[in-house]
Amino acid sequence: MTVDTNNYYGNISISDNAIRTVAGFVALDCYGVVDLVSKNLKDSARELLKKERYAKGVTITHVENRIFIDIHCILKYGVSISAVAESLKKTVKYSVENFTGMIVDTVNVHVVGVAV
Amino acid sequence: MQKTITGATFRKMLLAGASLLEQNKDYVDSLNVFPVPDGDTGTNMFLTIKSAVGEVNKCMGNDMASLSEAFSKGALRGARGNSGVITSQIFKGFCSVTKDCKEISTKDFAKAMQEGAAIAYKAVTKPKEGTILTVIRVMAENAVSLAKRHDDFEVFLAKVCETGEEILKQTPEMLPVLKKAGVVDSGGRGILVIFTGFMRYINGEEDLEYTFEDEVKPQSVEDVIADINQLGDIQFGYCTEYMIIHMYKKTTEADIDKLRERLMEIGDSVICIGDLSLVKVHVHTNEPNKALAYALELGELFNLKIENMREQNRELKKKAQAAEEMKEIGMISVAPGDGLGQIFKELAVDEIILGGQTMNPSAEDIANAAEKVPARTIFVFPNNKNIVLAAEQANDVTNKNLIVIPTRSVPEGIAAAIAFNPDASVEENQNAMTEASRAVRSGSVTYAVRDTHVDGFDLHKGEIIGLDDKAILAKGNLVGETTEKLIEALIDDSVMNITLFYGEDVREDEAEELQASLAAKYPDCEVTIANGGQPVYYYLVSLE
Repeated sequence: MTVDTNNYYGNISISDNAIRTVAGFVALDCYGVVDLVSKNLKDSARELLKKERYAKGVTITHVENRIFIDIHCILKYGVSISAVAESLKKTVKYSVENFTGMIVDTVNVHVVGVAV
Repeated sequence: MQKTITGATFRKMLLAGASLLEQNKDYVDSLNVFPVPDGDTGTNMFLTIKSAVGEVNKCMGNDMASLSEAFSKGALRGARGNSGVITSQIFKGFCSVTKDCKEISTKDFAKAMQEGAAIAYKAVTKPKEGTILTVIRVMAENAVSLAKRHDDFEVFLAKVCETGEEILKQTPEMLPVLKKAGVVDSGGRGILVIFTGFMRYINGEEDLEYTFEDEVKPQSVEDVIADINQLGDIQFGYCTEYMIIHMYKKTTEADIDKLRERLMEIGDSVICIGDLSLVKVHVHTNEPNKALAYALELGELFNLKIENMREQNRELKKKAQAAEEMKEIGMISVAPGDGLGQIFKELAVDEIILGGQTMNPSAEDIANAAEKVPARTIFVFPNNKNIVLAAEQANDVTNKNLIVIPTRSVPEGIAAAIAFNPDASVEENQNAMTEASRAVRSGSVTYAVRDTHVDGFDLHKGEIIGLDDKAILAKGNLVGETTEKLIEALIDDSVMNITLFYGEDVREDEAEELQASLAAKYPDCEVTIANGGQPVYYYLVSLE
């Protein structure tokens, strides 16, 4: 699945994978985020095989070229979840928009666990 | 029975739709209840479809693809105002379907309408029901089911228009503003007129007269006052409209979407549509500068229009207030000279038209003055027998109710103005004024312009003459002396007041001298003087 746009020179299509990698990479960089985890076992197994370290735990959907991002993450113990989630959303939205040039509609943060 | 529409028919059908709207654009305008002007719905829609049809006319081929392309491009290019933009989007969707057809069947037509409705809904950030959107959507929905049963266009289009009329009638139920004003939605009416135009053409009607069942009383500002006052403050003050052309090469379609997002942050009523060749933007915002700056990041701007809606609203409010303060009776008067005008003003005459013996105002001048007066019935004092006719004619030029009191001289006019009673009815006033003006005996003093022999006087050029409203009664070489002679000829026992209005050629001390001598001569009468400032006439004399 890809998001598409075009300009004078021609079409541009950006695959979900590319977006996922960017979003994952940026998310890991955020303070308080320890790791990203996949929602279910099937995804984890596939991601292990593909060795997509940065892309795991991030799901991308899009409607009419607007991107919706879901991030499943484990946060560090002791941080304010709401503060981290807020900064995570902002950072991911900014980076993905900057990178792809497309509109990020929503970033959902799912805190799966806490690392002590 | 017509089962398909070919390119040639399509072209003419579009033309018919446009021309029917042209004939009825004033009617559609009259339905416009929103006192925040985005311009007038009918006119905007017509200009949009006119531009579209213009593009179609330029199109050489008769194939559906190029005709559709031209029509939708033209509509987008010419789109004006909210309603125009929505119309252009309806046709954009419509044409995106028709361009793939060789010939249009009823099913294609229904599909095209549905696509048009869908695109139009998308164009508006917050679609409201009870508007043009509802009308086109319901028409499209019905068209789809109708197309299954009818494959001949005559019946199909007639039924589609019928359903359109039905839903249009329901629009007042959906939008309270419409209900209050007692009208149906203007944009909905407009789009229906266009489709009716299509239907008329398909049915082979050359004569495109369109009459409306729901005859609407002529709408004017006065009728929608309630809405204006309830409108409250306008949140976003500038209606900003522009097109972006010659997009930079790096600009992507996603940038257009982003522009829309950013515009929505600074305003409402956002419409931002188009593709990389042309983007049409419409936004109500308090920061038109930002709206323009954002767009400049994408490409060049074209056809910019920024209107201050607050000011427009204020003007409407002012008009509405003026209408509220409409009084029952007003007066206008013709006066030669500022001084006389001033005297009339003091007598509560609303408008003064400068004019008189040598400068008769036209019927139009009088009508214009009448328009300015915020009153339902207006009395006109022509104050000159040469102007009475013009004043009577003015009645045909204006839609106000003019009543001409045939005053033949300024003193008569003044007497009539004095007789005005604001609490009395129009008829009572008319009678009182006419009577008062009759009771006055007036005379004037001027000079002879050439040698002649009239009324038993041998006149030489430059001699001073005194006359009443018909004949010369006195002559002499001095102004004061002639005036006295004139009064002598006019006066009788019933006269109590003598009033002299001295003209621009008479000095005040001269007039006072004359006043003193007259007062000595007629001890029973009260002699007053006033500065009339009239040209040509040295004195206007009023005896009553």
